[in-house]
Amino acid sequence: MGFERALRDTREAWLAEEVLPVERSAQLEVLVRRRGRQVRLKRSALAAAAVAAVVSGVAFGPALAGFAAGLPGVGPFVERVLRLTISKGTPYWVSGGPVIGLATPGQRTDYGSDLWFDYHGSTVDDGRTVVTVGIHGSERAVQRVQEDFAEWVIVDTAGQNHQANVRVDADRAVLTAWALEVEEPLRLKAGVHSVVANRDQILELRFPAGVVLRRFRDGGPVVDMRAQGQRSTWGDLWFEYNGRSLRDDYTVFSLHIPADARTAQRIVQDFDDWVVLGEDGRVYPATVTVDGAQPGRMTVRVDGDVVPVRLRARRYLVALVPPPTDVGQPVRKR
Amino acid sequence: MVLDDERFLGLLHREQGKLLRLARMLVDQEDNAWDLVQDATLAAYTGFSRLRGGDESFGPWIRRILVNRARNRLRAQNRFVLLEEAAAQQPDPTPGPEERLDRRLLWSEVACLAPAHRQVLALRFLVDMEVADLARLLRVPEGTVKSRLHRALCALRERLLSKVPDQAEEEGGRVHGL
Repeated sequence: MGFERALRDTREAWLAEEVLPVERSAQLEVLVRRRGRQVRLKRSALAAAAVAAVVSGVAFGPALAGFAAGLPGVGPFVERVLRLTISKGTPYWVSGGPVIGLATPGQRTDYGSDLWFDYHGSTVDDGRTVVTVGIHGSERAVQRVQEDFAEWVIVDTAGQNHQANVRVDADRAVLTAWALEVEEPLRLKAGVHSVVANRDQILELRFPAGVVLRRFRDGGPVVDMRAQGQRSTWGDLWFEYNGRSLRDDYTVFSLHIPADARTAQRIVQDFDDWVVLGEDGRVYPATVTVDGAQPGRMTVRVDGDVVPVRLRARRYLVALVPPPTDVGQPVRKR
Repeated sequence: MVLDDERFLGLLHREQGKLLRLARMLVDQEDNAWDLVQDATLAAYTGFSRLRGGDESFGPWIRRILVNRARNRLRAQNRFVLLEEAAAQQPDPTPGPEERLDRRLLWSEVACLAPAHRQVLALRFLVDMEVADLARLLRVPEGTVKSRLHRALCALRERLLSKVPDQAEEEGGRVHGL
């Protein structure tokens, strides 16, 4: 079979002729490094969940139990492989959701037989690219989009993914997605939300050296913000509310904090899930920024016009998985 | 982990052009091919710890991942093109013009074939997929796969035949034998 032999003999040389342009090669590298960061963050979150499971009585190694107990000054011995049981019914995300074409307004994208999207158009607003898409199909179409899909990204013509926020207007059956700095949006993609079905799943996690483990603990700071100049303390930390300023569609609160680098590091590293309780009784997710160029200052940003009552955060314990030579040694606590 | 990242990127750098070329054989548009390369890259990165056999096995491994990603994607879209089957078996397409043509052009000509021919030749001869696997992928009997391969090779042969005189003329009558 001369043809077949010739095809096999020449394939490697033919494949090797293709040289990716530098920018595409760079895109792949960025993609990999970004995914690396995401994987590490997810492992950290899973580790936190695993450690919480230890607390609730699931048996792992005694070393992790030590970590779970959070014994001050006595670091745990972290095993390099952790088996985590994920209970039936636990939600997770997988790829394979809709890939909505944004090439031309009116473009239709089918997802299965009973759900389809039509691209209305995109605008640029205050540095954000806003994409609107109509939702069509069965009676459950809008509900499916709300419940089944997540991790939306806008893909630009250069093939780069931009993480997108999505809002679904159920009354108008319109999905609005927005992301920063997408010059030429080409596709809108999502992952599918699912749950662990049938039976519990066992997940083995390997923790290479340097992975950060975080374990949620109650008792983060609560900062009173009803009056300017009001000071709240949390342990040796203090926060002083210094007023708010209203921007176009968001509110920024300013606070004074101790002006040392260690405090800034602790605020960024040890706390998360910041929220502002508003005067209207609603809880607003908040973004906290500590600017190294302005020591002693902290800003908190929330969407909308919010009159604050207080700010609070969750506290995490953070530890590093030790390098291989340190296995068996206490984990450094931060 | 960081060391693994660097190793992965180093291996990927050697393969990325090949991946794009393979992807173009399996899907229709350049955007889709590039998307497929990105999908395969991320899937390979996620499963990198499962790579067995050292660095030299990285190429075949990630190419197989790309084929699997293409399969999932195209199955969902029902885009592995079904051809009308050959009414009757035709003679084996050897010996033929491949013996008189520059063999370096072979795959370039495959890339110009109809999608169904291109896909089946790529799956069989670029990534060495077995006929049985192809049958499962295409959801047709093995005999149908064989006849489809045969038709694809015939189509390639016809294409090459049409090229031989031009090439011979361009090269002053010199041709590269296989």
